[in-house]
Amino acid sequence: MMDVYENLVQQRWRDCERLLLCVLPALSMLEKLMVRKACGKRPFSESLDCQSRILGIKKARNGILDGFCHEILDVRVILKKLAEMAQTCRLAMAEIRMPSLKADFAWIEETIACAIDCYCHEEETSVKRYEEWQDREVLIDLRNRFATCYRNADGSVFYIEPQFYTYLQGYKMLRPEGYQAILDKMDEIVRKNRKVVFIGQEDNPLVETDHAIYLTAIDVADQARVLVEDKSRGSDYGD
Amino acid sequence: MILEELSCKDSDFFCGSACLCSLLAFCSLEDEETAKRMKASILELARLDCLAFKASKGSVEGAKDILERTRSGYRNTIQWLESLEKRDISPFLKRKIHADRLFLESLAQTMEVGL
Repeated sequence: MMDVYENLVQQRWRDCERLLLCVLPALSMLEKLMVRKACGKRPFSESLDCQSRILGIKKARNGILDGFCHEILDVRVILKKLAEMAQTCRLAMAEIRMPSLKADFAWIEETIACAIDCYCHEEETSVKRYEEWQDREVLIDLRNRFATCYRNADGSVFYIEPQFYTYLQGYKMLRPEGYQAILDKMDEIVRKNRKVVFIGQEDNPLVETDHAIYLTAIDVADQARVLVEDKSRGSDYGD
Repeated sequence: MILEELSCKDSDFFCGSACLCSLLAFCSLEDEETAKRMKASILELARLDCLAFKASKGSVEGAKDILERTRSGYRNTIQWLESLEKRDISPFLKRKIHADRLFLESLAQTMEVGL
């Protein structure tokens, strides 16, 4: 695990990812302290359900590590797990008398809380959320941060490049009656193909990801049979 | 490696090493050369810290020297954190670095008592 961790810390992450990395050794420490206390002379009370919490710590740590290794972070799941870990720290602290051990748990809690606060702030300020897909899960693709990555309940994933969305708004303005049909078609394509990148420019996709199909707004509108009449004359020199 | 090594440790010393491990993530705030040096120094300190724990249990020769070197390593790391805190970094990083510094200071004090 440490080899992976060392490789990860080499990279110049944003603040929130850096703070999330800090949580990994803190979670290892939390697990160790919980195990030690559980086996000690004065174990935690039964109501703390120590064993299932220890299992939860392992899962949370591995989940974050997997996210970094695959470069896709499931923010909602990570934040939920971290909130659980912070609660574990608080509950444990309430049962601990030794000041130095209390301080250890307090440091772990602060490390977790800091990562949570930073990630929540980051999400609010820098992750572009579109009202059309507000019911979908947002994932953070560490390689492709400029596009918004969504996951459907069935596990299919799609990316919205900002320029694609601009074109989509053009269709909404010109053909408002066909807008829902375009959104429905996008949904259908994503569920069928599992991974779709909705790109701004056909020749220059910004998102780089494996096993995906790439579609422009025109591709989708054509499939949805929402056509915008081309009123341009083509050439001013032709007549 | 280090993390597994640390997981067999105990008490404040384990916690100090976990804190040091977590500090590795901040090395990338430095330029390449300093980051490399800080990383090496933090990993070395984590190893020393591991030895210091054994030393505190009386199972290592030259225990006093090890404790002294560890304490001095902690002091250097604390100074580095102080300098990081003064930089123009995000409030979240500042908060984390501040918490780490206070934590290491309390551990260094514990070590001084041991000396």
